[in-house]
Amino acid sequence: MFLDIRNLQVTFQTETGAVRAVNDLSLSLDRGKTLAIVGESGSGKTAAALSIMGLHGSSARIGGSIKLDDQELVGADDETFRRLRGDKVAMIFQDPLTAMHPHHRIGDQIAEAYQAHYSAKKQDVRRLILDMLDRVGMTDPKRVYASYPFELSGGMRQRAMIAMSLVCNPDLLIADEPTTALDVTIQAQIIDLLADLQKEFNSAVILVTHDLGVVAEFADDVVVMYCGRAVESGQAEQIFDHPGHPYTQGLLASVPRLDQERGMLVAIPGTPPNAGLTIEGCPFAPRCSRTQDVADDLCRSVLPPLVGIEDAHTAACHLAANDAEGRR
Amino acid sequence: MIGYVLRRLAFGLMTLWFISLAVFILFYVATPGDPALMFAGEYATYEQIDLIRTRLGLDQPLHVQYFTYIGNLLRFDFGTSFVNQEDVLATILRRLPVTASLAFGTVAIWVAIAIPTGVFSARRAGRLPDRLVTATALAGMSFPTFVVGTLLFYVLFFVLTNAGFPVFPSGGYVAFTRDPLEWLRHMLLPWMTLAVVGAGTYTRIARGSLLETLNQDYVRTARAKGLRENKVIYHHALPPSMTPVITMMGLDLGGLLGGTIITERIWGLNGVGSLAVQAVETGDLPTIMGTVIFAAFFVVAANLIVDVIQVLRNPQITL
Repeated sequence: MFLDIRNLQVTFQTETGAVRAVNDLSLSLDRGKTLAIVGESGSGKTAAALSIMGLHGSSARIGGSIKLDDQELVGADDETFRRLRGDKVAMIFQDPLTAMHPHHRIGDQIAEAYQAHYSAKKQDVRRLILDMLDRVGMTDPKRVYASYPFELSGGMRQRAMIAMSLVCNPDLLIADEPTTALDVTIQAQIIDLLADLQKEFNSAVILVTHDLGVVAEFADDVVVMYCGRAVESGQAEQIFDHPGHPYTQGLLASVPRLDQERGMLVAIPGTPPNAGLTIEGCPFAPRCSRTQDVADDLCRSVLPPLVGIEDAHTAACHLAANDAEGRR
Repeated sequence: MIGYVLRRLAFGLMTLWFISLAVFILFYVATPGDPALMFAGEYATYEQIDLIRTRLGLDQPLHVQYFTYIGNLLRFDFGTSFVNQEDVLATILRRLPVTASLAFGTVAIWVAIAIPTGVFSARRAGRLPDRLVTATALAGMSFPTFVVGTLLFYVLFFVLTNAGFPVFPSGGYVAFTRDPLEWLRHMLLPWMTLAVVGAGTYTRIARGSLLETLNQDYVRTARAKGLRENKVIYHHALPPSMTPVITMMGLDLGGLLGGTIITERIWGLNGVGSLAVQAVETGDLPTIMGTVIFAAFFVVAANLIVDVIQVLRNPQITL
């Protein structure tokens, strides 16, 4: 396995106490595959992704194990992470306007990513970057090279960001909500571009998103996170065809569909609990419509473990095993 | 860009005109005594006072006096001192090198201390070294100039000299053009006096601004690229965070060039600040007016220069 995360814990020390952003998360990913981490804001999906790059500040405590190509990253020193970042693992951020330096030219920002890891002649670096800008679909690479971020449109900025992340040909690409800050029409272009480039570069991709449409189009595997925990994981078709966790079911039901009658959008009632609180039982129980189906009020007292409901498909719900049984 | 500079220039001239008007009202309309009496001195006869009044134009209607005043200002003519009949502008310009040495040196020391210390502090935010820096900065900021000056005078001049090490002079000024080393020797203690008080403020500003910049997304991106931490700090985070430091620097430099009263007094520097004090003490109206307008000019000019620098630093502003 190329990337293997076991029992990842990410805890932030804040003035009001420890906040556990990621709790007991395990996942794995092969080269050339795409894994989507799905969840709403605050579910810990970005925190999980950032710990692969060691980008959390000193207030974060990381536990468990992250193995990239058999190299253990939990507890690795700064220099190990620095060599990794941008070269072997690269990241695309949500909002390319704030994620790029406002006072540096696009070309210089990309060149820097390359020169942090490889030394080459100035003209060679320039040629490489112009080629990279061309590959991400820029019609006028030379103009983009000399532009400042604010001079480009949102879609072009994100293309430039992608060029920057791919310039060292990374083995693992982490895309953190890469389309959230973009227009819907541009979103599709960017996702197509990412899918094409992934084939070309044969990178593994972790796609952090709350957009299930993007997931359906692009992901091989899916991990659904809620309150810092994985509540369901499996292949994309499995998750979309027969979701095992009431939260996933709710998420899928809340996506408007063209092939069904129009009406009120379905929403999951309530909001996720505060990350600082310790929760007895299932964290989703207060918002779950099916707790009465479980005997002894088990949902509010016992944390459901991830159970296998079919090959490669697991869900953390007391009902999941029964449901799967019923389907068979 | 040129349009912007011209607009700012026009605005600066407006400010100066406004200040000159305030000065005129203060000294010609709301003046506490008769300027002619001040000029004439205690033993003048009525005839002499009348003669002076005519010569100063004080017997003219107010609007005539105002146009004469503005006309003189526009020709950089601040008049002659009541006390020694010297040309006011010449006196100020003669003293300017002293004040300029003090002002530029002080600001240079502030920045030279504040930027490395601010970076050091921000990189260790919340930890013990940061807290020590913060405490030291606050202590420095809380000292009044006269206390620091007196302490430095006592320890570094009096005690050292008595112990047989006359490293520093007690005060005075030696022109840079005459002897650069002596100039430095004479300026060090005055610089330190002002540095102790101001460096803390600048350190606090640099630290706070850098901390804010370090939280920006683009700094995270710089790290995500695998850049070394020093490059992240000095190439990506520090330059954008210098904006408030440069602004403060401009304001302070303008203020200092207008004269530093206490420091010049303590170290016997005959700069523009001590000239202003002497003029107030002797009721030397033209000199007071000259130093006020001169100080205003520097504040306005420094602001203008700072604004232009800030625009040049940000490619996003194209004018």
